[in-house]
Amino acid sequence: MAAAAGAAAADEAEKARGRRAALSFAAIAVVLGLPLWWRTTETYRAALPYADIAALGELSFQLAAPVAVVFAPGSLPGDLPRPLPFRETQEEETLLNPRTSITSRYEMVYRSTTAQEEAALDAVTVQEADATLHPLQDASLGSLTVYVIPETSSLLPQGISVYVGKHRSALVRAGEGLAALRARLQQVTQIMSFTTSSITAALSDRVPASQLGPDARRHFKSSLGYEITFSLLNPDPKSHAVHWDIEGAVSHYVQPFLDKLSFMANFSVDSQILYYAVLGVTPRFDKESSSFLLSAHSLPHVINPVEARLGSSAASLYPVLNFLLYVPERSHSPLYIQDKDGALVGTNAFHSPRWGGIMVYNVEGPAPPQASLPLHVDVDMVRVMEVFLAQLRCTERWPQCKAPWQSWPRAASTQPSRPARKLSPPQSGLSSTRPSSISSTSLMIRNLPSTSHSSCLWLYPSSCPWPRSSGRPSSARRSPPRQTEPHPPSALLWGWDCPSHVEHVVMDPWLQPCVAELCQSQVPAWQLSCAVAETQEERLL
Amino acid sequence: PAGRDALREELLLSPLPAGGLAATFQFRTRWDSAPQRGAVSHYRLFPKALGQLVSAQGVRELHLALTQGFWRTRAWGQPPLQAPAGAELWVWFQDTVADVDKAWKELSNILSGIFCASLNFIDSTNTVTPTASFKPLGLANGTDHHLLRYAVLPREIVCTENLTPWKKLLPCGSKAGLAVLLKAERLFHSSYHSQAVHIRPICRDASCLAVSWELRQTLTVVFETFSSSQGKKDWSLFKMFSRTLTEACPLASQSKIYVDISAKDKEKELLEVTPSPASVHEAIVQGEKRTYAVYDLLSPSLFNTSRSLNVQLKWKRPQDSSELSTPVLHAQRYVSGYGLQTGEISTLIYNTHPYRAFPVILLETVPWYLRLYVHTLTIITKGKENKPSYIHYQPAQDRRRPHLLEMLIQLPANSVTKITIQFERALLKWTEYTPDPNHGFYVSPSVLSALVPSVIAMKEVDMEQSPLFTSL
Repeated sequence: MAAAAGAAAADEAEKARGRRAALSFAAIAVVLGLPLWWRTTETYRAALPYADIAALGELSFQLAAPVAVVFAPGSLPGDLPRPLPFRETQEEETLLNPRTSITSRYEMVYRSTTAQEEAALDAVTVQEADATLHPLQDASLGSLTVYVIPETSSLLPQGISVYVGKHRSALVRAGEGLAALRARLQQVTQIMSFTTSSITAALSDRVPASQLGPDARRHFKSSLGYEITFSLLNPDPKSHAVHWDIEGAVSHYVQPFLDKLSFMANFSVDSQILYYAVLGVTPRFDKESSSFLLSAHSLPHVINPVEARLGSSAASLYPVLNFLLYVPERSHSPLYIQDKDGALVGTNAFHSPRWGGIMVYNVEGPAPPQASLPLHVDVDMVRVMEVFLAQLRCTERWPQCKAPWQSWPRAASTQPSRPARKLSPPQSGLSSTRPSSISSTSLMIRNLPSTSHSSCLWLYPSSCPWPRSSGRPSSARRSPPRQTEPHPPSALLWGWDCPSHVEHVVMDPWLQPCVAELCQSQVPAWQLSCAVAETQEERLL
Repeated sequence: PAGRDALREELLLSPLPAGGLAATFQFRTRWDSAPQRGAVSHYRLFPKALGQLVSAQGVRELHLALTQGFWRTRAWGQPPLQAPAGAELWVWFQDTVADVDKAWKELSNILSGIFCASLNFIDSTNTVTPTASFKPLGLANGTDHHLLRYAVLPREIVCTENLTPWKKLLPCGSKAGLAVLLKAERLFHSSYHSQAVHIRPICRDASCLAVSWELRQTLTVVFETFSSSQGKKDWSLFKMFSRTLTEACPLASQSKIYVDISAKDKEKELLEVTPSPASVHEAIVQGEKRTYAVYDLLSPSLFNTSRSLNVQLKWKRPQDSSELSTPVLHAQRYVSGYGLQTGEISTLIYNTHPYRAFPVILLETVPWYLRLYVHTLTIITKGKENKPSYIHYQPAQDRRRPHLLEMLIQLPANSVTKITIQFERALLKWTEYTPDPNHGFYVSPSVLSALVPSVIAMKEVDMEQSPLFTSL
């Protein structure tokens, strides 16, 4: 009995020991083994500097523009805070999102005119004054000069209180008091420089899409070079023997424009003539106008069949921009393009972003039936080049678009406080080797012949001779095609009744609010001159 | 503006002694411009793809031929244009090109894209730099043979995909003019099909004060009837191409069809051609007087009677074999031996001229994996050894360079010369085998350059014999 009890006790002890051993095994396995297994089977994660990476996303943009406000005698408002000359700095910070902020900083210098400037302001017309004042201006980068003339001065025509000159200067009437003057000054500087909304649009890739308008989404990465090809499509060489002086047109109109942009990218221009190249779409015959019509919704189908004939460049890897001039067949003449409302497009052309544009050139007039075929057709290159250059600007949205911010980080008047890290190294190298002493703003507004037309386009677009029609067949969004009719040049210099024209104007949308608010200010009408040589304008018109 | 571009198109129909018909198309586009690299270039008739290629790569002359089939010289006579089976590309570069090999590689890749042909397989293992066999066919200042590259891809097949981009280079495309006849379904149902592109600089006019570029696109096709037709050998354009001609290309300054109606015997005419030709042209070709019936598509009277032109040829009487003229120079090449270890390449060159001897430069390119033993090279003519007066031999480097053998051999009159060389096959790595290796390995065709004694007149029309050289 004792042996049995002893054996039972031993069994118990054995079992207890066993249980303890098992528990300790389990405990060791869990405590030691599980972490060991975890550590040995986890995937390798490299250590990243997360704080630095987060800091990369921050961009605080600083827009600095030195402005000189020059008071002509008799224009000094009575309530100046300090005697002339004095300096003042206006700063404004806009926060787009927690990481991106824009600081606009205007350094205003108020001074009175020198004797030469006074003499210049005594000129008869404002253009003369502007021309004489140009050499007297401060030539530092990005600087603006605003000349304040007395309210009663006759230099500016009646009813006009602001004149924006060609060379980064403006003439402003003094206004009733300092407050009004300051308001006008602010508007002028914003018009001649950049508004917050334009910078917002330029930084659109950092900003949530909902904050931007539809056009701002057409953001693109610019390339190091472009190849521009002008093609003449003649589907009916039996009836039309088409001749175009493309060499002359390119050297006259296109090459100067591209030379100015040569710091941004490499350009090469080509041209070719393609015969028996048809549009893939059959146009509809319209009885009332006895002409053939291409409707807006059939335009997307035009490009693909034609592109097979165009070929790609054998010489370089740069993207190609194609500009096609299509002379319709005799049996399909005349051919017009309709926009989505059914109206005929004025320039008979449409473009597709990042691809190029197509213009339909109708052979003038019905040929007499006994005329011998083929008819000799000489293409009017001026009309054609106008459209193509406008399309060239539209397809790549040069230059007062997002591109400047991406490719010119060293624009003198705008200094991002951190270099724009979006640039790939070759591009930033590219811009730093180009002469950066030319400020980007002055380039865009002043020196480019066609974009000075575009400055006309955006400042005074309803009279600008740049017709621009754009149906964007290949873009994903359904934005309406925009067209405008060319106006005679005599309407150029006179003001227009503001708000009613604002809807009709063709301009980059980031400017619309700017012009609208200017129109709604006390300034009754604006006279803005196009920063373009008159001779150039007349030649193109 | 600088001169005008010009397009001339010709079609030559030559009946072959055996009853077949050879049709040779030639389209010549002259581009009056001297392209510089990087300048703006404006193209009218000259295709932009080739113009950009020529100016970007610094090409002085370019010759590309894609051929399917063999030209049976003994049965068909001397061909108007010669090309080896497969793809052949040889290019003279400008002397301003710094790195010729790099330009050659880029050029072959770009051409491969333009013509949808596998020319991108041209690399250093099948490219050679011949020293004596080729001379520039256009205007040239000097000939530095380091600027020449030659490559053959014997395995290359020609098909519709190559014909379509070839036709796209023509200004009128295949919509008007002679190119309307180029329909793939008939062209590839032939015994021989060869299409070629030649670009070279030429004098703009007789005074040669300016240089123009000439693009010559040629297409040779041989139609043969087989025994199923029971000896009916009548030909017509419709029978050959399933199309007839309705109009000339409006851009062409010249558009003609030539039909070879020469007869050995003046009294008995061999061929009857309908509709009757407007004019007859006589020329001396390869030492013989030939007569051609000419149809000018640009003349308004041609399409007066009927809207379409269908040239028909009828044999009036059967040909007897005595009328077959054997060509003065022809050659054969074959590989003999058995097994997969060794073999022998034999080239037989025939000189059938009764009394004239002439020299011949033989260029042989053999891939590196067939290791040639030059000490086994024998040249035997009429039973005796024939020593070449010039030998240039560049041995192969494994996987880098092929063999190059150039010899200048004198061919005595009325003789057969046999050139043999033995080789041993090298062991290939398993990734180096070509697709379907049991089909065999191709040895590139050799090139014979000869000064053939029967003088050929240089003609600016389609008797385009380059007078000095023919390549086999």
